[in-house]
Amino acid sequence: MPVKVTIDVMLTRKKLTARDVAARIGLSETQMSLLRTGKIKGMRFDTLARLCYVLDCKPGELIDYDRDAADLTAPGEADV
Amino acid sequence: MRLSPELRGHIGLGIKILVGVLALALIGEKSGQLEHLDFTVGDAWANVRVIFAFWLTILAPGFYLCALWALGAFFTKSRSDHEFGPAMVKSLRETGQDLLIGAAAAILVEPVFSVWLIEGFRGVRVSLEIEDVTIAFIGAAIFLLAETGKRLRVELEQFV
Repeated sequence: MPVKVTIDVMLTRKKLTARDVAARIGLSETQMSLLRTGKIKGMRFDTLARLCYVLDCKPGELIDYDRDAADLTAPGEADV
Repeated sequence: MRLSPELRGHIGLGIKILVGVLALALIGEKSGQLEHLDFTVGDAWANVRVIFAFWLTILAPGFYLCALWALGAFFTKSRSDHEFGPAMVKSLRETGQDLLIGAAAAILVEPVFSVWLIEGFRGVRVSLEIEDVTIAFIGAAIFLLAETGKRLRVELEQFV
């Protein structure tokens, strides 16, 4: 999936540790690690909102997308 | 309808107490019936078979009681567990399994072994009572529901 989580960039820019941010937004360190490495299926809007608040940024600064035509044909929720 | 955790705990406890009462009543009833069995004087093996065939009749209600106990555990565990958490799923799956096994015992095991033990017949007999077949399907549905719930829970955990 070409959607990438770019939290690490924001963490570096804001000079915060993943552990601190995870504690502030109510995620476990494991969940934060999965989020940072993109090993998740999705992010809830409230998690995104908390991240944006703590990192003082917009959602677009936390996630990125590489355009890929295969996304239209990839199996997903819409096909179920 | 969303039940409060306390109410769910009380329902679970109530079900478990009910299971205890029903189990005692079942044992009392079956023990009373033991006196009226058709024993053969001097043939110990025939008497053993009669007693064994008699106790086979406790299989289905026994499993139904186990299913009810698992349902009680489902409510009790739902007090502290997440929605469809592992403990709740396990209890729900056990409820379905026990209902299925109980129904299978009533439909197949009991008729087959009763005839085998008492009449010496080696064929297969099936007792297709409406209530047992219905319970079997409800058990299967609950089992599948628990499996689906488990899958959905795993899917949900992949969202942070």
